[in-house]
Amino acid sequence: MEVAAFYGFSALAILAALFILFSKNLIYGAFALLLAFLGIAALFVLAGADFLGVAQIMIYVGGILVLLMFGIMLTQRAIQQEGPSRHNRVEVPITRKVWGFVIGIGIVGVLAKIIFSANFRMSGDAVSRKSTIKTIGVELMTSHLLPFEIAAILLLVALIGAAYLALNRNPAQ
Amino acid sequence: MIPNPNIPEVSIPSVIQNIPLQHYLILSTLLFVIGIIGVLTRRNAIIIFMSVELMLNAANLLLIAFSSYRSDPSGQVFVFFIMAVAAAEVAVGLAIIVMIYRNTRNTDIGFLNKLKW
Amino acid sequence: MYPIVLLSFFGIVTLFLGFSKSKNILLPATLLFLIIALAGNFLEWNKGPLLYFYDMLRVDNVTLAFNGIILLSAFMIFAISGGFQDNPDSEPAEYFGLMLFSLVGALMMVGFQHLIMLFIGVEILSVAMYVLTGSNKRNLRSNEAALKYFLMGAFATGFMLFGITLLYGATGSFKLEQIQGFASNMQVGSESYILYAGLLLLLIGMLFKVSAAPFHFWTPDVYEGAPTIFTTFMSTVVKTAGFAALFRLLSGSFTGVYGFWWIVIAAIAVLTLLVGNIGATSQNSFKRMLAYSGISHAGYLLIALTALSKPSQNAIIFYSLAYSLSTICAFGVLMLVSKEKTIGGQPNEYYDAFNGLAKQNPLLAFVLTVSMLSLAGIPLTAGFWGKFFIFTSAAERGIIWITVIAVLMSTVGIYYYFRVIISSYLKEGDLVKIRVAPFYKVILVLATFLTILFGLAPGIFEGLI
Repeated sequence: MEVAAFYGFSALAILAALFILFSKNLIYGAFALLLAFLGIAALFVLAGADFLGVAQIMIYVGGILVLLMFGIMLTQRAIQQEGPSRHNRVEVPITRKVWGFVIGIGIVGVLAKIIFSANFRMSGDAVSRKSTIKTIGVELMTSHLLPFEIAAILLLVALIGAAYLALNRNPAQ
Repeated sequence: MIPNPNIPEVSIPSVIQNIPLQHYLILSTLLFVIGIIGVLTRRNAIIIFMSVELMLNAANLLLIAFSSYRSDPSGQVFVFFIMAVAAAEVAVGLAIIVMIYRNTRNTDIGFLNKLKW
Repeated sequence: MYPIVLLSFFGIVTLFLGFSKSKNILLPATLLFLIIALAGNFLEWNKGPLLYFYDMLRVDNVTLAFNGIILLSAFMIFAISGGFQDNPDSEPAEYFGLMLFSLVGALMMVGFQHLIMLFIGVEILSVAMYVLTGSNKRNLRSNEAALKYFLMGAFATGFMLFGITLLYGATGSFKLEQIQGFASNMQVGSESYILYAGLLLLLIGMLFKVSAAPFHFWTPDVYEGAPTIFTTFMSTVVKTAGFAALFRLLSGSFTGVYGFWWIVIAAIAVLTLLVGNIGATSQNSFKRMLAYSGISHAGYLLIALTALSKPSQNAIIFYSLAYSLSTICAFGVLMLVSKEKTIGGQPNEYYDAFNGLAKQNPLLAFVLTVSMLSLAGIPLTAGFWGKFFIFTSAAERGIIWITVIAVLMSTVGIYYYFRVIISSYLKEGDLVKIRVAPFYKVILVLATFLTILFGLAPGIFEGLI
């Protein structure tokens, strides 16, 4: 059952990712990204990271994807004016495609060779443990306290930067 | 905050025992490489950014798989940080895209020919 | 440790100072903050290796020296920014705040002991730089540079993260010490290949950030498109922090697999030298030439990384200092000259803007000449000794062929560095006397003085670290 779920959600994530790779329409691409995020969130839960599965849905789907949709909608007016058939369409020149795929397949080949040459072992049979929320909370507040605090600086930088760049003080221009 | 002594004991899901780690590795690698190909081939800034998000998600998934296999929580903590960073990046990235759109009315990086790619 | 805490706090204070009516207070205040941070940095000098916050940060004299270079460069750049008073569109409080925060990221990269610290440090520095690159909001070149920097930076982050993930998978830890323990005792086969793949991906991510070839292609455009003051910041602070991080990573974790990575780094160093030096010769824009020169200097620093020994560690520190001082001078003069001569409202950053500089502005011409000589590695300047230390450290390790290539490439460098000197001394031009603020002049003279001082007495810091 769980094995079937694993392969099902894996297939969902991969197919959605491939759809983004080939989609000619930004909005469809964004919806495919939603499916990919959901599939990955389900895989998180299956792998025993319940808290991060929820966080994945809240941050990626609820935050990042919504922001991306805003970005798409805020920037599509000019293309719409060219007629409905050009709606949200993006094209790819063939030479870039070839190069991209050559590099990509090369990386897959090398990594696949490495992956199958490795033999991983599980460290012990620690079959039971506490829910991950408590563990993550304790880790964040003890051994990872400094990065946790400094991540606040990162968020502040992003906040100031985004507000500064997107703000238009002089709309006349 | 009253500490709760009765935190439910959750056993490692049987998936972790039934699925070889290699399959997680292959899945993440595929997602990662699809992201790379997306960045290298597409010309639209927003699609490139979606591909980068796929790459980050591939790393997250693999971190969680490793973390479960080793029953070591630090991998999951790292995922937590990656999510925060991704959220910060997307905010700045979209602000840049909106700023460019305000000046050029386009988000195709093919239009960005003032500076050669 | 102190400067990270102090700068985080001061950054927030700077943002609040932005509310005040008078923007004149910002520049002196931030300069004072940097002096306090510098003083705080050297409080821990010679206190031995200290570990903070569950082994997240390591403070030793190497860390402090890199911190000192970064903070000193930042001080000079802040001082020559003039408080961003000349442009009515600019927001000095935001710029200073972002730069102070980005310094926090840079210092984290210098002292990290845990890969989370490296990752967050890189991200703070990068996100702040994306914003500052695009800070000239109405200029399309600046916008495009920001987008390009952002997309390439995010791409590099993806590589870095996947690399860190594979390292974690192989070793089971993010801590440098434990990775070191695993890497030095591992058997060939099994997980070693995963470790190699992870190290390679992590290196790719880091080499993107320090603009080494073949991951350099964003550099010229971004350096050219960004406002010059932030280009200066990128080519000094970001590069120093990046190399400090690479050095700490390789020396802290991967000395056990030196045989695997040194050839990779050596190949990239040679490629970087070729791309940087040959690319720089064909440029007509001084600013773009400096971008390529930045790439070639990354190549020299990578040579020091391939050697990875105690002398090469000191060579990296000395070279970063010499390179930062000269680069600040070069960009400082460029900012003054390009503002004087404009093409269609944009600053003229081509070589011909410097024509006849020496006639009316002998001081600026002298500062520019010394900085070019130092970048080219002519004796009696700091840059010469920087290159000398790097080459000797590589030769001591027995890597002679790379030294030969590097020496050949640095003779190529003389060609393009001397072009601007010839422009300013020998060519006729109509440059009038440029008014330079007294403080600006002090900084340029100080940097020039230090360049010559280190050129005459390179052993001044010997035995300190």
